[in-house]
Amino acid sequence: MSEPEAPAARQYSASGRRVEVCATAETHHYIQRIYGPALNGLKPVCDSFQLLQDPEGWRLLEGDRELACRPRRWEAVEDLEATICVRVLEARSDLVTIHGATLIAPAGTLFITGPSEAGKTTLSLALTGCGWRLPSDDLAFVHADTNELEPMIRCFHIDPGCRELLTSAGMTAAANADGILTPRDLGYTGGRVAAPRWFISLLPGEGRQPSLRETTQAAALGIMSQEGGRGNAAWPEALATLANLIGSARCYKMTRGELPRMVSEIRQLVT
Amino acid sequence: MEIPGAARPIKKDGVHTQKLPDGSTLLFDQESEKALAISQSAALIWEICDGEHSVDQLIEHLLATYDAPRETISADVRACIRELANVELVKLGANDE
Repeated sequence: MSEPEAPAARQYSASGRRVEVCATAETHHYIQRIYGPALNGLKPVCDSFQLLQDPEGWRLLEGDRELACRPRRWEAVEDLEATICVRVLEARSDLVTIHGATLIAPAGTLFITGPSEAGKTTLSLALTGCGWRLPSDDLAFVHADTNELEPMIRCFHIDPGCRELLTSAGMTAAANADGILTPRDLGYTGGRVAAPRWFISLLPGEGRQPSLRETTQAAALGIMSQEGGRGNAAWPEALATLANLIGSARCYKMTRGELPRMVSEIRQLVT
Repeated sequence: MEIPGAARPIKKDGVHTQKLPDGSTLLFDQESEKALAISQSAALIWEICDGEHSVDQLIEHLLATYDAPRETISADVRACIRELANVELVKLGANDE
């Protein structure tokens, strides 16, 4: 079934990159949940996409080139967001990036890093239940001049395991998100954040009780150097940038345990 | 791995040393892009791995710096050199013995 409404082009700012998307109003509503309200006026853009429904599904196009065709709208929106993410990273290779979740607590910024599948997204979403904001669960640019983070706004990827854990932790709003969940859905509207006061490297674990141990800043830097990206910077320059970022933080390693216990331990830490 | 007292450990080229405010140090091999976090005392040992000083001289240097028994310092220096050699950040240079 096709949409009754005619598609229209609207422009957005994705981490400072101006992109244009031609889509129907309902699809624009999804996109605005990621990037915020459309920009005023139509100006020259870096990227131009179409995201439209046809009998085969939701099709994402760039010019004549098909990038994806998905059965559900939100899946195509995720593809759009992932494509834009790659373009932003390429364009902003002058900045070092760190991989992990940026959380803003009343007492300061917390950064949770760790390997894929460690559970960063689940833990971070659960911590938003404490009233903390979650600008990103994936990447942040490091501004060496001000020692601030610029989280890259992306959709949170909520897999069935994450959904189950969030439900059991009472995070029903996040668990029941209609396909995508964005930082904006959880109250974050953009901007840079202060250098983290706490770094936590999350490690896989099987036990019920999580283990939280303080570690050295060098150990944290070692993990960050393996997880992030140095952009165009040479390694010594990138490491100096990261060392400056980590230099005033307390660093910890947390072995995963039950979600409510992890949340409780981190809440006690971040005060 | 045996660490002879006369061995003269030497750092691998291209290893960046990044000191952190808490006293810890990160060694980063720019060739393999692998990192090793080391303690303050290990950083002192690392600094002297110049191919000129022997393991015995390293031990004497640390004895003058830390208030600990010779056996402890000797074991710690050898353990540190062994770890650095295992991850190929130092080579055990010429053995004068």
